[in-house]
Amino acid sequence: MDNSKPIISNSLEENIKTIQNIFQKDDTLQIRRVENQYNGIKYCIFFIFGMADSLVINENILKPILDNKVLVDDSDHISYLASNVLDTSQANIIKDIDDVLNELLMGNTILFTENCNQSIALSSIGWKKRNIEEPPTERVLRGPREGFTEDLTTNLSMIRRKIQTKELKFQFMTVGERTNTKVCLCYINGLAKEEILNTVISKIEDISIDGILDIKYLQESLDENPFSIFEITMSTEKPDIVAGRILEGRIAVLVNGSPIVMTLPSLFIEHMMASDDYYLNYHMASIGRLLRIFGFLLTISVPAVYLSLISFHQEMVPTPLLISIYSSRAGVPFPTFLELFLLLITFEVLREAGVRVPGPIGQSISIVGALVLGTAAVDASFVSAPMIIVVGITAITSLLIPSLAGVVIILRFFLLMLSSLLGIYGYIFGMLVIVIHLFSLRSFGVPYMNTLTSFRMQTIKDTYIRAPLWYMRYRPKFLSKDSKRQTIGGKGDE
Amino acid sequence: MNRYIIFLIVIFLCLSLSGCWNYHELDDFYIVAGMSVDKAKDGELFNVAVEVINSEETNLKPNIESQVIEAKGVSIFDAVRDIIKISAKKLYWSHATTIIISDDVAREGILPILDWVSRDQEPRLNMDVFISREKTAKELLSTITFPTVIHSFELEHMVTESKDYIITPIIKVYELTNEFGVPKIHSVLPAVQVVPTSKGMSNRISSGAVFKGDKLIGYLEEDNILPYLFMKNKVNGGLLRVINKDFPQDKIILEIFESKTKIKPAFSDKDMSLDLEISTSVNIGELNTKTNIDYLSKDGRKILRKEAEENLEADIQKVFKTVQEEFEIDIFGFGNEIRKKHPQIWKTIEKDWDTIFQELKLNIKCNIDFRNSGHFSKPIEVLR
Repeated sequence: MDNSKPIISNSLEENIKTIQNIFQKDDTLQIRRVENQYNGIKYCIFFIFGMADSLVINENILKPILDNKVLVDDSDHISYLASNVLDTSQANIIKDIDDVLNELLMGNTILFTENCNQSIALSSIGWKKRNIEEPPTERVLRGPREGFTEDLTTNLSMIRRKIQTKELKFQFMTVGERTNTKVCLCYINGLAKEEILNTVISKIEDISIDGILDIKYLQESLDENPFSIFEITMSTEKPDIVAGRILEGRIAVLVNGSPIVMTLPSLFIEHMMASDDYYLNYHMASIGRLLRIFGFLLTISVPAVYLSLISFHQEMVPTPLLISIYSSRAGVPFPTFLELFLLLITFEVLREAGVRVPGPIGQSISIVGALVLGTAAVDASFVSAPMIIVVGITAITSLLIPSLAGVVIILRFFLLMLSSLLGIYGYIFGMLVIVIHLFSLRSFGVPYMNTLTSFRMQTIKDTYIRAPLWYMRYRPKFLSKDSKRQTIGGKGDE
Repeated sequence: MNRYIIFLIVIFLCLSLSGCWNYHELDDFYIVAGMSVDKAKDGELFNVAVEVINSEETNLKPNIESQVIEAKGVSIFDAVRDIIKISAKKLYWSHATTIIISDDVAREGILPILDWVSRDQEPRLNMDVFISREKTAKELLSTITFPTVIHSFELEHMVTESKDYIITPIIKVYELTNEFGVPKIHSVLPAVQVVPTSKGMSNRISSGAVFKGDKLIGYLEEDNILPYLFMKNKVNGGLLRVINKDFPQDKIILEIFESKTKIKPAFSDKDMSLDLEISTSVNIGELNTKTNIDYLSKDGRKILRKEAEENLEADIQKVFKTVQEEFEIDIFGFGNEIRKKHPQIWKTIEKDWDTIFQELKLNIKCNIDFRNSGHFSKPIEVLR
């Protein structure tokens, strides 16, 4: 390729050559030359095979220009074409060759005509998309079941359908030097705080990366605490969750090609929330929340506390319990720590194996895990029976909070290591480290553990419990610019 | 960067060089349930038997059994350490509940036992202390047990879980050592004997063992325990027997819910007396009458109340007199009440308290409050 940037010239043949040069060795580029039989004007359309919908090209592009009888060959016929002839939903006249390439790569069709140094980009995007389905990781009992797909426009439409206000803004950006991926910021003007929005925009602009294939690429670039195991953004696949968060003043970030949508700023307590919480009776929802918080504490603590009680502080175990643990440990060849560590590792291996394999095989893995390993290990007294219960409780409670699945594994082993060295003292030390770390985290200026230390009802109304909706008279103050929900009676200062 | 590396090294050394503080595997020791202390036959030595929980691996079913290991030593600690030579595993004392002391050891003094139990870091101070009325204390560890296979836990179960139903002077190690520290107070410990059951011999909490200082001097018989507890303000429950003195064939059993005894010292020029104000609430548990008196009618209730109060008062006076004459020491803690309420007077009489106690008079005022009469409001009639 020569160094000078190619330009669109007046000659159709030259233009065709230019495009062909750029797309050398790329056989998906389709070129179709046509000539109007009534007035002899020559046209050429370009599109990329598979990205463009051939039905649109046939019916809405080729047919109008070939059947046109009135067009005269003058220098401005291209704008006449765009406004009067072509009947695609978009027909933009573009002059720059870079724009031509971008439009082509997006799946649009480019129309060149004779004696014209402009071209028309016609919307003809039409590739196969996945249907809207219920996301398997975020199933709900009640409430909307649709989930995002890989297509950005579909995703945006799903949000727009839920929030029909002119204040809902979609702001597009392009990230990725090679992939030119479209990124969309979505927020409600007047609710989202400008300083957060500006920070996000400037951070996204600063990103220099080859490609964005999933929201996680963006998330890691935005993260202010790159070494922390906690993410300071939330991800979801459900439009109703995103809409709910946008309504609280948060900003959603969508990426073309990923069904996961990121919302920010986020709080730790959001991991304990499920979209069901807002669709179920608030009593039930509050119980669910408390269960999830309890489950989080259990899943990181149970192995560590069990280990410290059994091998350091036997005097703290009630006598009958100690006796039954004592009798079941008879003949177990491993130290308690090793026994616990190996079983937990085994569980993680089984879980990881189950995630990756196809459905039917996944079931056989769980049978192998539960029956063969569990029962056989106890039968052979390789492990004691209470240990299976401990690991079982740990495993089940970890399923209560799927969004923290990776984090709890690290925390669990961290606490287990500490308590294997120092007993309960080590466990408490580890918990302190975790709590201090959590309280030092900030998500785009908002403390990660915000409101969890408050005792005011209006502040904790949507944290440990889910208060009735009529009680939520204020939006979270730290998130939204305008925190009164006037429609349900929020007045005065909160 | 260097600082981080040094920091990491410091953390690593702290964790690894300190070793695993207090780390011991569960199966490296025996859990001790209780101990008994006897005199060895050859005089000076103690014979300590320890009941440990042994577990045998049998087809997944948790199977625990009691095992008694015995050793001799010049002191308790000496003997306890000697047990490891037999058991191979270390003994773990934090879950021990029971100390049984034989009669002959108790008569020489129980302080050496309490000293080790309180001084060592593992045994708990809330262990229960019992005195064996059988020949040895060890045999109580090998009787039949009902609530659990472990003999020591049976006695502990009696005095903790069932303390509202049985009448016994419960005392823990720390209470005992506290009482030793109060001048002129003497303790009563529960005594245990063996009774036959259909399966064999089993333990039974019976009388109270009276201590002067740390030495056993005699036993308070079973019938005297309840009046003793009334005087000590330690009644949690139990049954009150009422026998109408005009019609001794009428026996009424009252179930005690709660009771409170207020002790007020009263001084006069010549002598000293104590006012005991006992308020007890009861339930009519059993109405075993042969006469035609309706104890539930308005007049009958008055009679019942009067009889019950008089009965209780007479019982207490009787036990008080027995203690004054037989043991000649204050086992009720009356001296302590005077010390708390009139510390100045106590200072002058402390020296002579034992003699004053023998002349002491009790003015007892019982107030029995009937809560209800059970499911029936009348005696069951037999019309034949």
